[in-house]
Amino acid sequence: MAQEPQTAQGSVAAPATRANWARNLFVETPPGASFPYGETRLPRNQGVLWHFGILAAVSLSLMMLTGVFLAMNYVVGVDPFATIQYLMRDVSYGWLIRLMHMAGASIFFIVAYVNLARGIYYGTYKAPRARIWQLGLVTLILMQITAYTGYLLPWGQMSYWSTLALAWTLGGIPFVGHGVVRWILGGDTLGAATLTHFYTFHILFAFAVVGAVYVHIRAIRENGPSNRDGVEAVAAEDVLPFHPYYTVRAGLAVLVFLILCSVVVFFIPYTFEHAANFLPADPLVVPSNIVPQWYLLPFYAITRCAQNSFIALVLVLAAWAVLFALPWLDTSATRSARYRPIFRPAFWAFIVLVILLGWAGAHPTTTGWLLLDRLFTLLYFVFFLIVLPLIGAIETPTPLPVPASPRLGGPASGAWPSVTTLPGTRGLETS
Amino acid sequence: MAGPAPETVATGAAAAAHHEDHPGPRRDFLKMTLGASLVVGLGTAIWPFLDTMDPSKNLMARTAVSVDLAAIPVGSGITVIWQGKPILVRHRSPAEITAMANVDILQLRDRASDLSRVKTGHPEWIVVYGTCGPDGCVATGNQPSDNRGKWGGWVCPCTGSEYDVSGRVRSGPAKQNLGVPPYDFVSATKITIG
Repeated sequence: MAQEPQTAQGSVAAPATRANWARNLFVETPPGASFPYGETRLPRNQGVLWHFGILAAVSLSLMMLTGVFLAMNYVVGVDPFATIQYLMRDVSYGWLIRLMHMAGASIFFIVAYVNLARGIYYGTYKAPRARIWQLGLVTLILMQITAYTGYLLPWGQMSYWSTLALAWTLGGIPFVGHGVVRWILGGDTLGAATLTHFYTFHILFAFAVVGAVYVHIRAIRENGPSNRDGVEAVAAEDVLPFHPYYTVRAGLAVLVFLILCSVVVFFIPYTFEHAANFLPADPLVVPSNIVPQWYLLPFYAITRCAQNSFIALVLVLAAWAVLFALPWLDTSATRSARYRPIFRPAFWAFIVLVILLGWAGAHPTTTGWLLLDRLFTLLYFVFFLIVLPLIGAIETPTPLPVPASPRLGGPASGAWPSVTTLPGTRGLETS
Repeated sequence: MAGPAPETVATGAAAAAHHEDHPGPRRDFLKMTLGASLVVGLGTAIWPFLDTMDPSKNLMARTAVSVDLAAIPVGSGITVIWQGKPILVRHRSPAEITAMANVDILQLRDRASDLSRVKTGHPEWIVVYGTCGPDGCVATGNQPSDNRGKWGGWVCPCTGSEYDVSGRVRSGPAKQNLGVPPYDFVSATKITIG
């Protein structure tokens, strides 16, 4: 499906020189007549949310950079909780590097989840871009494994107990589950071996994320960039050169993003941290309520529906499977929710549902919360397996804009604006 | 399309060419400002990262180390660790004190009087850094049974340099005397290094 030659924007082996590497990163001009210029363009009707790909790349770079310097100062295995105090107090700027990494993980996931939701709303996972979507999901899974293994390293109470709680699900693998968990943890419970294992996994999976992101970006380049109208760009009027229009816009987005990140790191760095993690891990004292990192909570809630770890594992794998199958579960031929009157409210209901799922996952499994857990999990699968195909069948999309027409990013009057009057480009063409 | 013909739309190569053709002073100024900001900003931002690799503050903290001198017999010395570095503390005999005071300073490679290397009123105690070579070698000679060299002080096992019992270099490749760390007498039998 991803290979359908719907557009002429297939992979073209153009000689990549140092000068045009940035342009070639996204789209190579197809050899067809529809793109008469020999340089990289992006659809002019991409919205602000399309910056979240770049922002995710910036987040990842910062995580790798801070991670390298943290790895130089982290002492594995002796007294991990004291190591964090050493990092925060004794290492020069250790507090900065550590808080950037700690808050940065949450920021990275916020950006990645916005990127994911953007894909759902604008239907960018549909042909010919199913591969981009699925590679994005692979990246997300690798990110979650990286975050899961990294969260143990501070060796706080919540690190310890949420690691155990999530490892329980892996024990649901038939026949070998218990052995697999023992093998990963290096023991029947968490110890020095678990710490060295997870420290190594954390670094290995971080590099796996970098690799997955590279393949994800390659897929965007090969299948063409999406846009908010879900209409393929076919004419010169539909696109703008990557440079300077998108470099400048993305540069501004990165600046705003870095300012917001700085506010988090310098003023509210512990926003995403659970209070119990300021206590050293104690294998004999269970916290009253085990809460994994917020970005794992919806999936954690799904695993908690079942008392049996095998069923829990099946449920969470199914939750991922429906995401991977989304390009086929969403049967509508129209991509963007801008032209899908029924899908639009359904999308927002789904977003609320996922937040509710995470909210339920953050509470103890008393009878009431367990009921809500199961209800929200049921609705999650109902959305993908029943609501989405149904909407595709009964919905009448509003008319799509015709490519190369004023509706595609142009003003309602029908006149194309000159480049200088486009939003965000004022002043670019005048010296 | 009711608008102007595509030719008037500055896209693609036309736009790029247009943009290159007008290198006015305003654009130059903006480019230079941006470049300077990037250099200064990135340079500032990279410093905290590099600084994390410097010695950590707990190592560098001038935490005082107390040494009880009462347990050191005359003619012997001990080695203590201060800020991760070895410090030699030696109890000198009256003969050694006299010999050190009578050394002709002009003959020394690194000229220093014995008085300048001990605390006033405590000539029997000499406290010096034990690091004697560029590779972090620690001088031997604390125990009477150790090789103390021709001048009876310390010997550097790596370079072969010999020091007198005031810690001054007397032979071998070394150019400088063993340094004197900051320390003070808390009582007659107790010093605090740092």
